Amino acid sequence: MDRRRINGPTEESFVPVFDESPDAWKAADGRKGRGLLDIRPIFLQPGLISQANGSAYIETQKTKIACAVYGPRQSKNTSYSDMGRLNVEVKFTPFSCPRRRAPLRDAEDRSLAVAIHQALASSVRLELLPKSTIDVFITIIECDGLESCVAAGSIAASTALADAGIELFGLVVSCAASLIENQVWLDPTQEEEAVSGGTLVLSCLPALNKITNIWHTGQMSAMDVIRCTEACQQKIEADIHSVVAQALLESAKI
Amino acid sequence: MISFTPFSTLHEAEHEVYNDDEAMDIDDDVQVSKITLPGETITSSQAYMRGHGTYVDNELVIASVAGTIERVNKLVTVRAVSTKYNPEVGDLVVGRITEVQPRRWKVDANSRQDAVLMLSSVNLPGGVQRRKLESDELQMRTFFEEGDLLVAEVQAFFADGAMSLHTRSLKYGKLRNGQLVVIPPILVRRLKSHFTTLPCGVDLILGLNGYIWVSKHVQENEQEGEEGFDAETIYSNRNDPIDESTRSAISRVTNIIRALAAHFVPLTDTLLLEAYEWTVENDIDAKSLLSEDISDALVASIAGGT
Repeated sequence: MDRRRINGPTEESFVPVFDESPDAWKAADGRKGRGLLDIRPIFLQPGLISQANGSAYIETQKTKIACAVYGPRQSKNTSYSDMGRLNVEVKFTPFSCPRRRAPLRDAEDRSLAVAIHQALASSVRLELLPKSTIDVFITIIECDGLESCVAAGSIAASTALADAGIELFGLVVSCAASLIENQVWLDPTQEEEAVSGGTLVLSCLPALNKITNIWHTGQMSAMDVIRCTEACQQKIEADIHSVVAQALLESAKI
Repeated sequence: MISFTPFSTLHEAEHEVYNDDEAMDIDDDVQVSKITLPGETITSSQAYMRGHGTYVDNELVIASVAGTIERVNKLVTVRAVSTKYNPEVGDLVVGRITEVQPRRWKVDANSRQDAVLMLSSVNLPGGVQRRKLESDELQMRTFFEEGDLLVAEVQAFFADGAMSLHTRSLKYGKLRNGQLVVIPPILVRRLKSHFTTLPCGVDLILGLNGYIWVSKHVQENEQEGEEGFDAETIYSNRNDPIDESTRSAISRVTNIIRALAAHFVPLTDTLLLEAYEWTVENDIDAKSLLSEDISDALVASIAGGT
C-alpha cells in the first residue's frame, strides 16, 4: 500500500446519491407546496455572531445566509472623506450551490454585492460618519435561487446594521418575483428561476415609502415589471417588514 | 403607478406607537421604556426636540436606531443596545495601540474613529515635566508598541471628531498583570472613581468605552513614584509574578463581568463584589460561571438582593 499518498477506498465504493432528478419539475405542474403569491417562511435572528458589532442570520427553507457588520471604524486609506463608506462583500461557501463554487474565481458574488450595496446605501446615514467605514460581510451558506439570495441578503444586512446600532433612515426590506407563464411568482426558488422569463428584486424602505433598488434580469414587458413590483411591494408591507421588525424588537427587549 | 400606503403601525398590540403628543403626555416623571425601530415615527417635531438616534422628516421625529425611547422634558432620544462608544472630555478609557505614527500613537478605543495619543501627552521617563526630545521621537516603540494596552483620559477632540488622549498621571499608562474584558459601553456607568479594588486582591479599571481591565492588586506604596520614576517599570512589558489564587480571582471576576454583560446588567463595584461573594459562597469556580444556568442563577440572586 502506498503510504505517501491519499488512497481511495480500498474495496467498495458507492454510486453517489442525488437529491432529485433536476428535470422532474415543470412550470406547467404548478407550484410545489405554496401559492403563487406566497413566500417561503422566514427565520431571522439578529446577533448570532458575537465578535461582530452586529449580525443576522436568515433562513428561508433552502436559502441560508449569515451576515456580519463590523464598524463604524476608522477607514484604512488615509484620504479624508466627509461621508462614511459602506463596504459590502458577498461570499458563497463552496458547497452552497448544486455545482461547487470555487472561491476567488467566482464572479457572481461581486454582482450580488453591488446589488445589495445599492439596496442598503441610501438607508444608512453615512453623512454622520466622516472618515469611517462600515464593513458588511455576507456569507451564503446555502443558495436556492440567486435573486432570492439578493433579497434575503439585503434583509439580513439591514437587520445586522440595525443590530449594530448604526443610524439608519429605515429598515431595508426586499422581495423577489419571477414571471412564469405570464403569472407573477413571488420568492422563486432555483428551479423556478430557471424556467422563468424574467426575475426582479425590489428593495425598499417600507417605513418611508421609498424604493432603494430594483434589480431585474431576463425579459419582461413594462406592464409585467409593474405587476411584479406591485406584488413584491404588497408582500413587503404586509408580511416581510413585520417579520424583520419583530426579530429586531425581540432582540432589543432583552 | 407604484403607490406606497403609509407605514402601518406594526406592533400596536404589544407596544403602542406615539401619535403626535397624546401618548407622550402620559406621565412626565415615569420613564416609560418603549422599543422602537429605524424608520418608525415617534412624535411630531413641533412639540418635541430630536435627540440622538432620531432624525426629522416632514415635521415628524423618526427613530434611526433600534432601541429604547427615552425622554427628558421635550428632548426625545433613542438609545441602541449595542453601539460604539461616544467619547466625552474627561472620560477614562482603556485602549489598545494599533499604529505608531510620527509623534503620535493611534489607539483603538471602541469608538467610531481611532483615538490619538500624542507623544507630548505621555509621561516621559526621567522627569516630571520635561520637554520631548528628538531622541524620544525615535524610540517611541520603547514606550508603547502595537498591541499594547493602556489606560488614559480623553483630553480633547480634533476638528474631525477623533479624540485625543493623555496619560499624564501616575494612574494612567501601560497596563500589565491582568486581563481585558470587552462589554457594551452602555453598561459602564459614570462612577466617582473608575479605579476600584476588590477585597479579593483584584484591581479593576472600568473604561467608559466598555473595555475593562482586571489585574493583580498593586499596593499604594508600591506604585511607581512621581519623582524620577523609573521608565523600566512604567513602560515594562513584563508581568510581575502572579500567584495561583490571584490568577483564579482575576479569571473569576472577568467571568462574572461576562455573565453580567450577557444579561445586560449595568456594572457597579458593589454589584461585582456581591456577585463575587455569591460565587465564593456557592463554591463556583471561574470556568462554570460561563455556563448558562449558573450565570442565570447569579443574575437572579444579585438582582433579587438589590
